Amino acid sequence: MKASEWLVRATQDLPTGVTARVKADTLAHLHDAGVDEQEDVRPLLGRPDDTAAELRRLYLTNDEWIEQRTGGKDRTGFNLSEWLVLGLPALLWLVLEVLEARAPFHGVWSIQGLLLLLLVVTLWLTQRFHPVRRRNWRLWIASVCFMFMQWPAVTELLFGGYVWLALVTLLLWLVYCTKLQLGRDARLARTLALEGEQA
Amino acid sequence: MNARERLRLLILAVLERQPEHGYAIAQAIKARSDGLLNAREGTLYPALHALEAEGLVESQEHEVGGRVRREYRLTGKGGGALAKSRQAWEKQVRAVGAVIGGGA
Repeated sequence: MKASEWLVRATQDLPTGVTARVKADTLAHLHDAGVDEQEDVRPLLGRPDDTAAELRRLYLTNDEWIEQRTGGKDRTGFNLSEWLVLGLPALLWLVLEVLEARAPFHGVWSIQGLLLLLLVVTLWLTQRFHPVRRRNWRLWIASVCFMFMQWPAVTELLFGGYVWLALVTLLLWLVYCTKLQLGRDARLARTLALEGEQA
Repeated sequence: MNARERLRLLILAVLERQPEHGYAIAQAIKARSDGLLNAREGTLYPALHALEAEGLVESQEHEVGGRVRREYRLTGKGGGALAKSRQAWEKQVRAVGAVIGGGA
């Protein structure tokens, strides 16, 4: 397998910036090793499919990249840069709940106090992010708020009033979703860096 | 410590001595292990990219003999991560040695 074929196989569905960096690294490696680009490069470089798998773990694929930037061809990403439209009612609801409870860090109502804090911190921390990352994080916090806004109903309907069981379940779900979001965000940030954009 | 973490440790250890470009890192790993360990390009560069994204190494392009080469260098954060990984590895080696015996 020639170097050009190996590179096509390893980078076929990656964005242009990522492909360019991998190509530069690979050709420099071949040159340093004294291997001609027309020779079979697999003994030196290994299987291109292994490289492809590693690269997809690190970077977004081209389709994911387009989806993130434009909402995709079917607009499934709902490219709403105005996710604050959802965030603002959530913020208002939380403020009202905290004020009404008068004791934001007491009993089940402490959830609202912590959510309000999380919402404000997320909005503040993401203000300098790339627009795509900012939108993703704000969508994440809007989802979290929505999930916990249903707190009393969820507790009653699904857990028969067992507050702590509901709380533990929701917190586990929150940890899982946050882990997924952190992984997606890391891939996006790495891709942005190689696409020449400030993450 | 899985294969991916071991490769990261090896890369950081090589870069601790001096900044190197990708091929030299692969060669150093092979030479220092008497040919037992082989960091193929397919896994080496993705590992370097990940280390760079985490701020453990940094890279810079240099022009050498009309060719552009990327040189990787260990950062302060990378030095800390190396010390931690080294400790974890030594602990594992001691634990395995204690089980299998033979003065390991």
